[in-house]
Amino acid sequence: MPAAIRFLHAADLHLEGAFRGLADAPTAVRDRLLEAPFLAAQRVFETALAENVDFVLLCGDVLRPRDAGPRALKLLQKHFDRLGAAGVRIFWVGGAVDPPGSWPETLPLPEHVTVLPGERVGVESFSTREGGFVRLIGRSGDGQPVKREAFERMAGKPGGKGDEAIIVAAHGPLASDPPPETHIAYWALGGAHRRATPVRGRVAVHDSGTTQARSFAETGQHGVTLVTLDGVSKPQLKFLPVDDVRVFGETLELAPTLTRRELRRHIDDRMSAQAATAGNRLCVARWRLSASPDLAPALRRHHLTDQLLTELRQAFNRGDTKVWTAEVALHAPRQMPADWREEDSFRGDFLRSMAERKLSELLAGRRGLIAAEAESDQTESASAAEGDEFAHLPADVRRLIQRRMSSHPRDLKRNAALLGADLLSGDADYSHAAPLTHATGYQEAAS
Amino acid sequence: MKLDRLNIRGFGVWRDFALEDISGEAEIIYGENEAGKTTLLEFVRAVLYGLSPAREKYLPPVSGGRPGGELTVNVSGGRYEVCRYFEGPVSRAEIRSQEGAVRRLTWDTLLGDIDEATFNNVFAVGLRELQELATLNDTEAGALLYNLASGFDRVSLVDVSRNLQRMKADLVGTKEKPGKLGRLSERRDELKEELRILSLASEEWLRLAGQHAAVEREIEKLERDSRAYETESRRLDLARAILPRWQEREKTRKRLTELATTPDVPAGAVARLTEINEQIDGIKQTIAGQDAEMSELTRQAKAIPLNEKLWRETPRIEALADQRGWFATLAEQAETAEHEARRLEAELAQRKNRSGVTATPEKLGALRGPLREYKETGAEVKRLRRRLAESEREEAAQRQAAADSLAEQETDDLNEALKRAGQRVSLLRRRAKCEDRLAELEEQAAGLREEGQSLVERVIAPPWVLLALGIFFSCSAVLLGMGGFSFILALAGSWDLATQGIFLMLLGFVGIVGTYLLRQGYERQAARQLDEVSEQLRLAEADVDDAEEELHAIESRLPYSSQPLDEQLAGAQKELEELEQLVPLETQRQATQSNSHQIRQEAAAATRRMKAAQEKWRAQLRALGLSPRMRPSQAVKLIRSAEKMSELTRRAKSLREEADDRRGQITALADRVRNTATGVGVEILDIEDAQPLVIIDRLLEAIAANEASSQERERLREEIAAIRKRRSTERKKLKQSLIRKKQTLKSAKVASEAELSHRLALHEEAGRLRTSEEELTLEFLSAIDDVCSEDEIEQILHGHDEAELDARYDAVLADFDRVHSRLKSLYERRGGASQQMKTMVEGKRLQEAQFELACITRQLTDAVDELLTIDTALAGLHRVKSLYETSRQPATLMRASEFLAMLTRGRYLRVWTPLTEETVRVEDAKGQSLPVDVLSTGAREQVFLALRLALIENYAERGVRLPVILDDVLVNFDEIRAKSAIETLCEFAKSGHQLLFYTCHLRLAEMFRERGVNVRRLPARGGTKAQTLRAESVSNSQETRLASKGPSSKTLIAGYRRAFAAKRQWLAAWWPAASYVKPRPKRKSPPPEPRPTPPVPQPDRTPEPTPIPEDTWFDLERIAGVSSSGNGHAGRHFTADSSAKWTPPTAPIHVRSQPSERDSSRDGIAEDAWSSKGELVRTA
Repeated sequence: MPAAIRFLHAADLHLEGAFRGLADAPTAVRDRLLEAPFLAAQRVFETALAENVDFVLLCGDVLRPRDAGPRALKLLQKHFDRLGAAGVRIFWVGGAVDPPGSWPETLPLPEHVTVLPGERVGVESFSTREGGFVRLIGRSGDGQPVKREAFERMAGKPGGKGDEAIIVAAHGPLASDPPPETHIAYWALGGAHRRATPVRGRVAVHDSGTTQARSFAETGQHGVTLVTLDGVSKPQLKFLPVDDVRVFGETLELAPTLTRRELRRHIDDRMSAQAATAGNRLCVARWRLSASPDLAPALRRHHLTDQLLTELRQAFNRGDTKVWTAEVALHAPRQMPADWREEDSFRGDFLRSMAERKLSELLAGRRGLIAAEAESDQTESASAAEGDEFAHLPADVRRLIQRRMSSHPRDLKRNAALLGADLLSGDADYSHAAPLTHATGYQEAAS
Repeated sequence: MKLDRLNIRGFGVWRDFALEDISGEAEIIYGENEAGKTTLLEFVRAVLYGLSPAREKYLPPVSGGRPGGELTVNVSGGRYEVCRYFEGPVSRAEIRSQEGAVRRLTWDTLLGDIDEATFNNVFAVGLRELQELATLNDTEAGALLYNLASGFDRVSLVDVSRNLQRMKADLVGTKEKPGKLGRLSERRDELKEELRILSLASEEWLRLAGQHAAVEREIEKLERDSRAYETESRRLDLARAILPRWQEREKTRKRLTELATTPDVPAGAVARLTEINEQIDGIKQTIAGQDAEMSELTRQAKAIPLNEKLWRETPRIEALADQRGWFATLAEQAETAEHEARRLEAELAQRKNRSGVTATPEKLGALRGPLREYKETGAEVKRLRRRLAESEREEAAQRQAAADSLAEQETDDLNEALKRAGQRVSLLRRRAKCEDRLAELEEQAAGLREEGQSLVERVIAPPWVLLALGIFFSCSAVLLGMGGFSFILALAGSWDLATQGIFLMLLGFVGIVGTYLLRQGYERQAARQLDEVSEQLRLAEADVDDAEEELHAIESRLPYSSQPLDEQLAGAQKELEELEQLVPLETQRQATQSNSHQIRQEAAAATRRMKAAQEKWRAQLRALGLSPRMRPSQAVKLIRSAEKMSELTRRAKSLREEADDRRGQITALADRVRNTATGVGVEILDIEDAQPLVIIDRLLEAIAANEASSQERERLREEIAAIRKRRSTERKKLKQSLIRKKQTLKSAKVASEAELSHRLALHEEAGRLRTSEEELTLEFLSAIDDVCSEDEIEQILHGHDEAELDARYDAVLADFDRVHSRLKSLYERRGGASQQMKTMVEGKRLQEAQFELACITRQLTDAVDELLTIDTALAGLHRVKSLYETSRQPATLMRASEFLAMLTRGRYLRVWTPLTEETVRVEDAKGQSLPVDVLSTGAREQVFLALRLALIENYAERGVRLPVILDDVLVNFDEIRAKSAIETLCEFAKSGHQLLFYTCHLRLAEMFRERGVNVRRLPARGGTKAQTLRAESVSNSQETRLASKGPSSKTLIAGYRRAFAAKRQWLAAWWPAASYVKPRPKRKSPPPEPRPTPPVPQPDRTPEPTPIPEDTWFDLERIAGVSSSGNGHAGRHFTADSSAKWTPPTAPIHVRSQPSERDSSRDGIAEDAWSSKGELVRTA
């Protein structure tokens, strides 16, 4: 019986990437967020040593050396040396941010680190310490879908060396699922940032996901996958979390009968549950509240989101919870209260005017004007001469305006309708905070 | 409020001036310049609102008189006098009720909360106020004009727009002062630049890393060289140090080689011989010691004494000693029994003395039976008496409860009350039943009567039946006739008609008979049913009578009550239920009473039994010689005392016998002990007197001493035997050692011990030399330690002397120093690079900047989204603003537009206000909007007059009606405008507003007068009464006269409104917002009530906008024969036949005339002039 093969599958360490979008994080949280990718990377290599694996498979996007800085390079160099001293080989499939050759020449990689080529499919055959035989077929990529045929050609026909485990490593999703009769035991993928196993069985196709979440699109646990191949049965996958900051976002449907105390209790319960799951990790939460069209305006006017955010952060500062709340947003309802548009008031007139085709045409024309201006890169004086009120803004901001105008025109109109309706509702607060609160809610809907 | 009379006591030029019987509609006050018209206006203002700085010049009065005056006003049908008099700076004002006033009038009610500024600018207006719209803006009325942007929904559209504009400006900023977007973009650029610099730092780190690696490699090589030089130097240094010892070791090794020929002594022979000699000496010493010890022990054994007799008698004495405890027990028991017997005897004697009882307990026992019986009967009597008392208390309580309940029912006898209540309930129920039955029977009788009535009516067939029968009868008659006719014709010769005629006749006959029979049958049927119903009715009425009789009988048995039957029945049932609830209480009371009686009988019987037992008891006492009055408790005590003394006597006797027995046993035992002591020869002093226990103790002591001596002798004997055994063993060992010594010398091949000693000396020298050689070798090895191997150092030492070694050592040291200094510099370089790299590695600025850049980018995106949201919302608000500016103007302005259209005869159709400004604009017939300040003076005053009139109407709709005083406001109007204005003002006054129009122009007064308005002429200064210039009565068919002068004002207004509606229609077509506003499915909050627009007939169906009759008034002038250079009195020449040529304003009029030169010159500013093509152009 062939010897068992154990290896660690990791991807998307992204040591060059910071956590995105938490402008108002306190110093302690901010430091933790900055440290998290490095700590996660360190845990990857420590896990490899602790699990006594035969080799480590890095499936791309480990770091962009130009942006990652000395610290990331030093960290990798240090842990590559540690694994080398323990006799653990490292195979590195380049990704979008770390294509082959991006590693600085002045810092040569150790001999036990092998970077697989990007222009062709590379093959590495070697024996493990336990006497297992491995044929690793891999190619660096840029995150685009990977065609499996090139790998299958290199793997040869089924029924070759019976005791050889064939493993494919790539960066990007598989363009098509492998057939069940393939003799490639394991397809190690990267680039998806979310842990996924699209195919599971005698053959496994698996993306281990990123090691550390860096945005609210990457909620949940993150880590590496310990793969065990005994040569005859299906691959055994074991998830090992290595992340240090855990992100979660929840959307709460607010019933009209729900009291504020009940809402707070529910949030506390959910935070407690998440904190219990996360252990010593820092949790960062984002709450989205969804209310009916009749209820949402009242909640916006009473600044429920601001109050909740303040309370939850105070609880974090007091040490009542280990969850830091990054954001509490109120979902912009898809529809206005039915009678608003019918009423004879400024608000009714405004909402009816927002539904006019003429306004859409006006906005479309304005989009076109801004787009033309942004593309032609006119001088400020020329733009100003045409009466463009955005002419003095930097060109990249103008391009951003044009892009945002074009990307979500319907959401834009809907948010504008919400904003105007709130302000025209009679009891809206014109204080400084009110517009910001509104804008927060609307951009959530737009995003 | 309407002015009725104006009386000036003294104000300005006026003194004791009165203006009486002021018209409730329009009143023209004519007076030349300086006549005092403005003074009149100011007087009204002063009376209503007091003195102001502007009016101080009117006081004190020029012509004297009391400063102030009165206004007589009509308010809500009441008449009041408003007085105000000025005394210096102070004014006194009051409102007095006149005839017809039903309530007290306050100033607020009088003026309707209109402040002075509003009154001065809206109601009492001079030419100066009229020309300045800004003065109007400061008043409350201004809000009515400009409430377009405020008021609805409690939200200001302007405020919202302004807020959004401000938010947008905060985001966008300007070139000079960047907004949030600019700031964020700037910060983002800064961060990008910083990141670029930080990425350069990464390259620097990589360069340092390469440099560090190169230095590491060189250091590694130099360290190898350094280690080699160091090793060599240490070897040479070592060789120099150990050279003398190495030479000594070589010498020792040579001597050892020489001693190697000496014959060997068998290994261990000398040692073994020495050992055997030592063993022999030791054994001999041991044997001598054992002999001496045996002699001493034998002597000690013989010196120990021993008593043989005592040794034999020992078991017996020990048996006696075992009985020592029993002996002591016997003595103690004898003593105790003696003492107890004496105590009991003393107590018995004491009891006998104290009680004096002579009877024996057996005799006294005869008292027990009577005593028990006496006590039991007594206890039973007590128990029965207690039960009897409880039963009587319970019976009394139940009796009281029953009595209270019966008292509530106002009766003493429960059964009687029950019976009475039952009968009443029964009667009431019967009565109710009887009434129900009576009602049912009456209803039945009524039904039968109605049925009978209907049957009576049916006896005579109803008209429809009669009609149907009549028709049938007629048809049958006709058939009979026709048959007869046919038969007659058949008789005349047409026999073929005979059969038909007969058939028709038969048919007619049958029909007639059938009709008769049907009617008869119908009536008989009805009569029979009527009889049946009558019989039933009779029976029912008899039943009703029976029921009434029964009811009367029942009512006679019932007491009179005004309550309804249901309440009576409910009350009776309730009373019955309450009485029935008392029945169990009574039953329980009777049971309790019976129980008491029984207990009472039992108590009497028990009392009798108790007395019999008492007699028996006393007889028994007397028989025993005791007092008959002795109580049972005393008797019991007596019996118990006798029994106790008998017991004491018996116990004392028993104890005394026991004491004697114990003393005998003690004496026998003492004799046996004395005999034994004498027999064994133990000497005891006063043996006869000594206590047996003392003698036994002495014997036991003697036995113990005898045993100790015997044991000591035995121990000494055993020690001697053991020593003897050991001495025998030592002798055997001595013999074996001598044999082994001989064998050892023989095996060493020496004859004697001396030869063996010489050979041993040689071997000892060789041993010392070997030790020395080993020490030197060890010293040598320890010196070289781990510096190098032994071979390597010997290789260095061989063939070299000390000088050569020193030279080599110096050369190696020089090389080592050179390498070391190079290494030191490399270490420093490496340390510096490491420190620099470490600093760069530990720096977190790159991550922080990336983090901040991500945050800024997100904020920038958010801000752009916010900007776009605001921008889009602003676009929507702009649409709303346009909508309101075009079609949702305030009601006041809409009404002002109508007035303006009337005043300008359609030239200007609309007054409107922009949403964000507090100003008004006018729109001409072509839809062109103009600011008011570019209009000519006359046109502007038309606009302002229209605004005032609209405001006054607005106030009137809100319940505020004040007299309108216009002080020569038409002075700048040309003839046509003045005519239009006068028509408008007259219509305005007719609609219920009191108008006082002051003028100094006779032509205006004439024009008013021609409209039937009362005109008064002010007297010369100092006059007291105005002169009425009324030429003809207003009451004379004013409508007819007005109609004869031209189109009526109603017709004019309708025409202008039609034109206005056409204009709005055109606007709606041009501006879709106006059209979508029209369908208003739901009104949440009612907007200010617009003036009801009269139904406007559609002028025509052409899609083109209706031509605005801007030149209508020119046409009118032409028709009226007014010359273009009219002098302002042309109105007097209007003739009745001008109406015949009146053209409706909606009709296209193509006649155009140039505006008069006079108008142009008088207005002074640009006028609209007609170009040669007939288009309106405006020249500056």
